[in-house]
Amino acid sequence: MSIDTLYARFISGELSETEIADLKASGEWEELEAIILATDNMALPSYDMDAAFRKLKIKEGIVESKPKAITRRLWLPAAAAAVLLVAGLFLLNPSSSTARVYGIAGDVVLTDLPDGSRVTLNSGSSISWNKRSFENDRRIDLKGEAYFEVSKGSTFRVQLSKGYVDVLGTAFNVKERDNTLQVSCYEGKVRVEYMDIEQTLTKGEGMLYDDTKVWSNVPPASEAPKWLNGIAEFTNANVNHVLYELGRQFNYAIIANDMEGRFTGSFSNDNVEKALKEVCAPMGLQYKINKDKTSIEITK
Amino acid sequence: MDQGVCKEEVYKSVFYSHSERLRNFLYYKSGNLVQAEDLVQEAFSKLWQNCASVSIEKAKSYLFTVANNLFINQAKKAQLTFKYLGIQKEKMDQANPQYLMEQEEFRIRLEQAIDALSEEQRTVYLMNRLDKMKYREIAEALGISQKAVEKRMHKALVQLRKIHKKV
Repeated sequence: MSIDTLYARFISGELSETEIADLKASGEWEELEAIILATDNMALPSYDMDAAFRKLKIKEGIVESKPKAITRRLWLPAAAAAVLLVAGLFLLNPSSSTARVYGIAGDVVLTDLPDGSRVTLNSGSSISWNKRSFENDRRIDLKGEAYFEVSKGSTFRVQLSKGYVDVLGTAFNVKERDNTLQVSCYEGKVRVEYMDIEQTLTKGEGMLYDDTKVWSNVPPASEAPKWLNGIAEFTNANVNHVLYELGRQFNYAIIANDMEGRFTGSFSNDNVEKALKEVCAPMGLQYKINKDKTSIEITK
Repeated sequence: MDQGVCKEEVYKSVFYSHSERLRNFLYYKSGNLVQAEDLVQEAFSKLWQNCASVSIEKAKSYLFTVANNLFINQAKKAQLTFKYLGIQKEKMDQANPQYLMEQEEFRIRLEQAIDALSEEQRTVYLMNRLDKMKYREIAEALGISQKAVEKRMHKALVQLRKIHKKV
């Protein structure tokens, strides 16, 4: 019998009599038993299976119980809504006072807040809030991009890395990346305080701060952001930024030298090849998806 | 024709059969409980999205494969490093204080030694000891041969025996 699986067979009780005798004589038997016994007495962190399953169910629950609420405003055909149900996952840690929701790459996540407000997260983004204080102090931390429909009530604050956006019952989109912020107001009124500026936006107004380091007025192009319908839309955007967004959307690393040019157009979020064509063709770029499906090379 | 796991009862039974072992598997790899539970949810959501093309028999290896890939991707991106596992003794028999102290010391050293194992060895060892999975089941989940599982198991124990010698 082979020696390189000897201890494994000791554990599974498959040793021959001579092997047993040898192990006992050498004292190994006793040592192994002590190790196994001590290991078996270890306990793992508890796992609440029902709670874990319910987390999955939350999304299904939203879709099933309020289909109207979703289609009314949501710009999503029923089929798309059904895909969304388990795409995003609720990570509510019962022992902590912070609730957190992540948008997984490639999917859009809809979530209801305790006050009835509704947030739709774009992929790769997350929000969190304090479960204890939220009722009295409506404050959400946002990383990335989300669309908010806020119920009437006290001030609702979206905390960003370098500032915040305050709201009084409205629908608006906030998109923050490393060097860009874009806020679009679709209903009501929002107030933005970010780095050195303070600005109030009303329905149909929007503002953009990007690599040009200048704030510009960019009114929203449609009645609701297009990414909610699975389309990423750009107006005169730096092509590097567009490629970055594409990679982020589909969870690929983008390998590209610094590209020049500006892109106006959109790509759809359901198919990476299709999206690549939509961006690369008009820009005269070539792409190659690497075999391991984790990165995309872009060349001129 | 097999309908995969699209039926809710089927999907649920798959969740109840595999989610805990999957969570533990990911936990053994990273020592990060939050991440492990997060990835379980992600893996199951992928299973749901692809429910029509995954049969009940294939569900287990599908879940482990997907979860493993998700883990590798995250680890690559965030350069995650292994955190210590928080496995604790719970069930301790009555014994004299001297013996208990020695036991406790031994346990701590053992836990450190388990942490120091390679990811592959630790994962296989703990799946067998704590999840009570047979070598065949582990092989199936990880998509490797049973012989490979046995080798990892053996190597893990060779490493762990070293701490015993230091007593």
